[in-house]
Formats: sequence, C-alpha cells, structure tokens
Amino acid sequence: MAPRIRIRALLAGALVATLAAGTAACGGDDRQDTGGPVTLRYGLWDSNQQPVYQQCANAFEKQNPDIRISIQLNNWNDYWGGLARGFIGETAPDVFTDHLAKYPQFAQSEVIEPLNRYIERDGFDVDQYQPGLAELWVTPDGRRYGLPKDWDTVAIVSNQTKLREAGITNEQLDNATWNPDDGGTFEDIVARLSVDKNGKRGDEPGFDPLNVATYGLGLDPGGLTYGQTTWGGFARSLGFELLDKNPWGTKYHYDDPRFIKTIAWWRHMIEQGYMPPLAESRSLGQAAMFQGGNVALSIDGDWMIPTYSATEDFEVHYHAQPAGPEGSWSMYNGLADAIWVGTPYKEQAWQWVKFLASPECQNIVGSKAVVFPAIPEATRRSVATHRKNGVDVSAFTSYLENDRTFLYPITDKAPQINLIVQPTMEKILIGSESPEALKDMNSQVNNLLEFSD
Amino acid sequence: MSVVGQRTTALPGPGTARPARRGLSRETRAALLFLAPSFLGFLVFYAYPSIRGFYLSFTDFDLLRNDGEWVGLRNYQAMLQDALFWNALWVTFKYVVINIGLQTVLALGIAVLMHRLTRSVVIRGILVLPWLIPNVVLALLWMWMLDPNLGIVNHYLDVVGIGAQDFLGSESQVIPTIAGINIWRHMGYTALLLFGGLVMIPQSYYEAAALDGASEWRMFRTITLPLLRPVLALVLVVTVIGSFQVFDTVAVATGGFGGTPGGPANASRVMYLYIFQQAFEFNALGYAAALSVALIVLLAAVAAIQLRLLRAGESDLA
Amino acid sequence: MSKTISPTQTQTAELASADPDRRVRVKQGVQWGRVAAWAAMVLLLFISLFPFYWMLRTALATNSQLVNGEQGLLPPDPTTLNLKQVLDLASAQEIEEAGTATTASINFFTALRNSVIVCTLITIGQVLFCSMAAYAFARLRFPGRDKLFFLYLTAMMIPPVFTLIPNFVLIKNLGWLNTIPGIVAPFFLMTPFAVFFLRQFFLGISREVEEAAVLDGASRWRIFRELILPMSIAPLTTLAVLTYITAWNEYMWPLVVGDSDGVRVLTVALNAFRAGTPTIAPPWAPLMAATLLAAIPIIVLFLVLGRRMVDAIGFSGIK
Repeated sequence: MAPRIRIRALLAGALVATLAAGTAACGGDDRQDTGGPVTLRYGLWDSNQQPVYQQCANAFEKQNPDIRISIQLNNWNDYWGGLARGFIGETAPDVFTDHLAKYPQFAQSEVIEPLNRYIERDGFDVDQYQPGLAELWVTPDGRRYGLPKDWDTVAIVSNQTKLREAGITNEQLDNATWNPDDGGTFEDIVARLSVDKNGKRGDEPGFDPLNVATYGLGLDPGGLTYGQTTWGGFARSLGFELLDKNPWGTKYHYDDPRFIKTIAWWRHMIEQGYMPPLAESRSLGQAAMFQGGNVALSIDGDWMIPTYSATEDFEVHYHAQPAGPEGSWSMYNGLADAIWVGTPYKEQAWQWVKFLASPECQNIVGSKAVVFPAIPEATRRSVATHRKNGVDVSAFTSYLENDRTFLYPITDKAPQINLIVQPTMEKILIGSESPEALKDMNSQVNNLLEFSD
Repeated sequence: MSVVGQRTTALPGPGTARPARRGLSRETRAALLFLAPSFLGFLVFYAYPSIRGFYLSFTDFDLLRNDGEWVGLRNYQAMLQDALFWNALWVTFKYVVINIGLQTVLALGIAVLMHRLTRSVVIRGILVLPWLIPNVVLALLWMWMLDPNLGIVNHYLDVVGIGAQDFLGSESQVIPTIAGINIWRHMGYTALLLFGGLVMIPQSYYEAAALDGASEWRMFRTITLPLLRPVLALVLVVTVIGSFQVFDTVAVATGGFGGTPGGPANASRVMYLYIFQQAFEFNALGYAAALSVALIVLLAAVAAIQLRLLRAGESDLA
Repeated sequence: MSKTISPTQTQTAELASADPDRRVRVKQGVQWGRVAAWAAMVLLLFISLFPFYWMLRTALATNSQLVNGEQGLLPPDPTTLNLKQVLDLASAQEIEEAGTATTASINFFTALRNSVIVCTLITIGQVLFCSMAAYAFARLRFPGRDKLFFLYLTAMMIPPVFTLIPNFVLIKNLGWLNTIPGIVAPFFLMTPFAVFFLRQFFLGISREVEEAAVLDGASRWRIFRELILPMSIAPLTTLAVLTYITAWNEYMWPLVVGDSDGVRVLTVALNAFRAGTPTIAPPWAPLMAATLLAAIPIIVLFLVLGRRMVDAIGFSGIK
C-alpha cells in the first residue's frame, strides 16, 4: 500500500460528522425559538407516580393552553446528581419534586425560589393541608420553599400465606408489642415466621440462623441514618427523639441509651437469623425479597403500596408498627414541589406548583390511590379508592388519627452527616463495631453541625 | 516526571533546544504552527482548569451557589483531620497494592505464555476482549455474577462446598473483589503490552541460552526480565497511575440497587470516589479540589519513586 | 513458522514444569510442562470468556427465571424479548407481563450513532493534532521545547475529576452543553498520552531521509505529510485504535455534559436505562441484554479488524 494520508479528506470527514452531530444535538434545546406555548420541565423520581401526575398535567394544560408540562423521570439514585448538574449547567427542570433531606442545602445555596411573595400575592391558603406538613418547608428565616403534595407513614407489610403457615393471625400482628430488651410479642412473631432450610422455625430448637430460607422480617439497607423504614418508629415508641428540636435541630442524640438499645436489638435480630444480613438485603432490596418469599414481613412506606399490592403469588396486609411503651409510632414525611431559581418561566412555574398543591390535582392523585395527597379531603378519597380496590390502608392513617407521628429530621449538613452515620450503622449491623460506637459517632456528628458555617 | 520525558527517550544530541536568536527562526515558526492546535487544547482543557482547580482548593467554593471565598489553608487543615480522607487513602492504597501486584504478575505470565506457546491472534484477541468493553458495562456484569442471592459465582461456590460469599457486600472482600474485576479486565491488555516488548527481544539470545543448557526460569531471569525492563517500567507507571484513580467500577458496583457507592461502611470509598462525592453530593468544590491536589502530589511522588527504582531510562536492549 | 516451534516447545515444557530434572523429562517425550502451560492458557481463556457467555445467557432468559434462582448453563426457555425491549421492538404489554417495565428507553440506535460520531471525531482530531505536536517535539528545534514537553507530560498526572468542573463550566459558557461538540471538545485537540506516545516513535525515525528533503527545500509541513506520516502508519493505527476504544469507554465526561435525549452515547444511555429501572426488583435480564448490545459494536469491530487491532495494542508497549 502507498499510504498518502489525505488530511484534507479527513478534515472534510470530520466536518461532515460535526454537521451530522449538530442535527443530532438539536433535540437538546427545543424551548428557545418557538413562539408557541411555554414548555415547563417537571422533575420526578418515582415511576409509580408518573401516570397520575401526567393526569394532573393534562388537566392543567387544559386550563392553561399556553403552558405545556413535560415530565422528566429519573430514578432516586441519579435524580439528585442530575439536578445538581442541571443547576450548574442551567438545564435543571423548572419545577421538581423536592425532599426534606435535600432542600435545606438547596435553600442555602439559593437554587430554589422562595414562594412567599407568590403566596401573599395570590392569597394562597397554606393551612389547607394535613397539620404540620406545610411548616416543614419553611426555613428558620421564614422563607417557604415548597407546597406539600403528599404525606407518608410507615407500616408493617405481611405475607398472608406465611402468616397462615406459621399459625399467626392478623390480630396478633396488629396488636404486637415491642421493647428492645426481649423484643416483646413482635420478636416472637418474627421468630415464628423465620424458617431455616431444614424447615425448622425460628422459635424451635435447632433453628440454623446461617441457613435461613425465609426471614421473619425484612431489612431496608438504605437510609439507616434516619431509619425511616427501619428503626425510626421503634426508637420513637420508647420516647426517643433524635434531635433537640425538629425541624432545624442543632444537636443529635445518637448516644441516647434508648437508641443504642434499639440498634442492638436490630443487630440481635440479624444474628438470630430472623432478619437478612445487610449484604443480602442490599443485593435484592427489601420489596423484592418480600415478593420472592424470602422475607415474611417488611417495614415500608405507603408509597410502596402499589408495588406490594400488585404481588400475585399471595395476599398482602398492612399493619401498624408494633407498640412500644409509648404506643405505635411512625415517621411522618412529605414531599413538596420546588421551583428552580434559574427558570426563565417563574410565573408559569408558580402556576404549576400552585396547581399541584391545589385540591383539584390532589383529588386526581387521591382517586388513583398511589400516594396520600396532602389535603385531608384528597387523603380520604385515596383511602376510599384503596378500599374499593380491596386494600385496607388504615394502618398508615392510624398514626395521624392517634397523633403518633414524628417528623422527618431536618438539619443542616444532612448529606455530610449521612456519610458519617450510614457507614457506622452498617458496621454495627454487620457486626464489625459494637453499638457503643454510636456514642463516638454522635460527637462527630455534633461537631460537624456545630462548626458548620 | 521529567524523568519520563528525558531519560526514556535518549534525546539525540542535535535535538536539544538552542537559545533563541534574533527573531524567530524558520524552524521555530514551523514548530509554532505544528504545536498550535494541541497547545490550544492543552491551555484550555488542562492548564487553565488545573490552575483554577488549584486556586479553588484555597476557597470554600460551593458548587450550587457557584461562589466561594478565600479561606487560605483551611481546606488542607481540615483534610488532615478528616478521618474519611485517611480512610480513602488507606482503601486506595490497599486497592493499588492488590490490583497492581496481581495484575503485573499475571500479565507477565500471560505474556510469556503467549510468547512461548502460540502466536495465535485469536487467543490474544480473546484475552484482550474484556479491556474493550466499557467499565460501566463490566461493573454491572460482575455485580450480577457476584450477587449473593442470584449470582452464578456463588451458586457454584455453594455447589463446590465453599459456600456463598458476600463479595461486594463484605467489608473485607469488597476491595479485593473490585481489584479482581479490574485485574480480569486489564490482565490481557497489560499482557499484550508486555508481549510487544517480548517480541523485540532477539530470538537468538534464547537459542544461545538453550544451547548452553539454561533452564526456562533462568532464561526468564537473565534474558527476559532485564530486556523487558524499560517496557515493564512504562507499563507499571501507566497502570499504577490508572489504579490510583479507580472510580467507575466502584461507583457502579458497590452501590447496589439503592445504596450509595463506597460501602459497605466506607470499605470501598476510594480516593477518587470521595473526591467525587465531596464535589457533587456535598457541593464542596473547594474541599474536593484540595483532596485532588493531595492525590496529584501522591501520584507524582509515586511515579518519581517508581521510575527511579526501575531505572526506566536505561534500556538494556539497545 | 513451524520450524521455530520445536525449540520453543521444549522451553515451554521446562518453564511450566519448573523441575530441576526437566531436561530428562523432556527427553522422555511426554511434555507435561507444555500440557500444563496449555491448561493454564485454556483456563485463562475460559476466565476471559465466561462472563461474556453469562451476559448472553442472562440476556436470553426471562427475568422471573433469574429472580427464582435459575442457574442452568443454558437458558431453559430462550427468549429474545429482552433484546427486543432494549431495541424498543417489544410491546408494552409483553414487557408488563415479563415484569421488566422501565421508565427509560435506551434509544439504542441513537446512542450507537452518537458513540460512533463522537469516537470518530475524537480519533481523527487527536491523531492528527497530536502527531503534529509530536513531530514538533521530536524533530524541530525551538526555544523552550523540553520545558513545554515536560508540561504536557505533567498533564498526564492530573486526575480528570480535578478539571471536570472548570471544563464543564467552559462548555456551558460556549453553549455546548448537551451537544456532540461539547462531548468531543476536551479530547479533540490533544491528550498528553497521544503526544508522548507518537513522539517516542518519531524519535526513532531516521533523520537522514528528512535532512535530504530539507536540503531539497521541502517545507516542514510537506516533510511531515509526505515522509513522516506514511512511515508511521503502524503507530498511528495503534494510537487510533487506542483512542477509539478509550473514547468508546469514556463515561464520566459524556455523562456530565451530554445526559439528555438525542446526545447520549452508549455508556450514558446504558446508565439512563439502569436509572430508569425501579429500585425494588432489578430487571437483570433486560439490563444484561442492554449491556450485551452495548458491547456488540466493539466486539464486531474487533472481529473485523482482528489481527490489526491486536497488533496495534501490542505495539503500544514498544517505545
């Protein structure tokens, strides 16, 4: 071969490719030059919720012909990274679903829009929601960064077939008691539900905790920092409070003996073979293990009802968390919609946020029985729809009726604190640290909080 | 680094730069034109961002706020007291030792096997195949194969009687597992690089040695290793630098489906991942920049030591 | 070829047996060492290939089989549904029944096209501009040359995460976010490795031919184009192959600047697909189908280029 390199030909090739690339890239920014309706991007992470918010969007578009809503879905793990890139790159969604663990930092960095002036101007009623929800989104300086769209609590999900096989009734589970010393009747139930590979049950002699076929209780391996679907309700039922005040606490109480005992009990359950080890839970996740029959009970939030109730192989029931000395408690959390400060369409974004927070949209959400909307009337619709579908969700609402809810902990530096707490909790559950390590960890956490600027 | 630039290449005498004469010589002008595009790329995408990064390491720059103030050495002081920084260093160090140690030995073995057994392109091709596939893809694949419940590896470990292992879910196994995945990915490629060096060694040396009755091991020690040293040095420097920057595999494979990567319990939070998390999860760009500077200093030191130890420049072949 | 094999055979036998009496053994005719060496090679080949087989096998299984712990070496009931799902050829109902519904489509062919465009551009730009720079460093005399080269080399040490943000901001200011030029830009003009690699090679080219051309009055550009480049086809090919593969595997940068519909390259599209899967029950079957399809283009390239590619990689170790 006589390789005379034709640089001009190569460059021409490169040029053609660039042009081709240019056409490919055009999809990126379709919002600039159109004189037609404004398109708002709306960010969401839960695929279960997309259909109902699409319905809200349709209703909204009908009333506001000059605004279109384009829902952008991203799984929780990638949602926040994508948002951060969007803020810097100025391509963030105009409106997005916000979380209590994340919004303090967004507020501090001023990437979300305070809603106060819109609310005052339009005389919007922020008291129409379930008590307490709206105030979660107000920072200490009085700025309001979101309007509640839903609320959630946590309950015990049971596999009815496994319950029957173990000879345990729903009433027993509904009325279970718990304490960190002997685990109460709840531990007895969980032990009874655990079955090893030889068919021995957890409360029978000779049960092999290292070869378990069905664990009595599932373990949600993420989010151990605030224990929303793990230790949260249990520790609270002992009277434990994680923060000196919530929201905007300044001191954590991870060193409280009641908390340490709760975590020690958690570890005890894993050691007994009543709960799956961390590694096993991480690989599949609690819900998949439940649906696969590897765990008989799981502790999960109401946003997972659509997933659990779709289980085909067996019937599923929901139960309030076991009652400790102070009764049966649940963490109480809610989401809100926030406006990105850099949106070119603030007014339209506010209209959409207002609509999402209005009875009209929340009733649509309620009638679909996906999550519990923040407005009480819409919540009732949701409960009714569930009942019509044959699903009894009273376990989730019972906490509100009995006033046994506590709020999701909100402080500064939540991501940094998570990086200290989650690994320590994992170590304890794995068994490579003793629960006493929580004392040390707590002073680290409080140091971090104290010396933050 | 100057060592790489100057020693490995044995600059020919007349090539060294002369002091500039009046005006620009014809050659200098030509050089400017030749260098212009790459120099533009260097300035824009390497030099400027590096200087900026260095500057940021003395600020409390917040990624989201897109703003920060000069804080002097505070980031560096905080770093020295940051248990997670030391943990990241230690974890990275463990990874590099396992990864480079095993990978180099294996690759050398494979290269010699390739050299002595067969010149088959198919075999070389198969061995290098894993390197052709994106890290992200391979991390997912191994995550699946090593799954404690459903993975094929644990299935066979169970069948054989060893019993299922946690691999990515265990504090003590996660780093060896990640190292193993990357060794699997790189061993064929590294072997091929070394093989390239092996085929340069004149066959006559071996023939002469064989006539003298030298054993294969002795030939390896007295012919192969010394003559391969320059190539080996180059390969080692490049792989060690790459090894210190391990990220993709950890980021994809240790998070599980729902957890944050780096676990369990910090056991796989390597330096690069920690920098990434500081920058993109905590938005603490200033601190992340300080961590990066520490990593760069470390890399430079390691490379310098390596080159000195391996006497990379001295080519025994020439 | 066959002639050279016989001495090699005995040597290999010795190598693997590592036995003091090896020469005696070899004379006996049973070359156990050689057998052992081949066994080691076969084992290595198996280790290299098996995961790919498992990827294929998983891609052809149904998700429910996987979740139920089906571990047979052959998929009990091969299905192409997962592949169809990834290629957007499956109906929503089929996917729903298989229980592998995801919210994100991988847009496979768009991503493939983007990957090809991006890698081609990067390879052309990098090989061309870096060979120019390498030529200047290897052959031309100008003040500050070695210092500048040293600077280029130090850039090799800089972890990409360090330059990521400033580069991201720059691309944003250029308005190139979520465009192909934005993904290509940082790799288009130079990488320190490419300059270093080609310079090493150019240093080895004989000066005499070149000097004759200079005496004939040829311009540097002509010498470069008509003498140096044609003589360097082998290392240029090597570099092109390496660059292409590296660009193909690049993940972080395209994720940061090009994570939107229409510009995602394959690695990023795969991540988007993974991110669109529900966290509760990982749909491994379609995920493996997607990883398989993402791997296929490079494997095909590999089959087509075969020897040249292998030689090219082996070549890069030689200075």
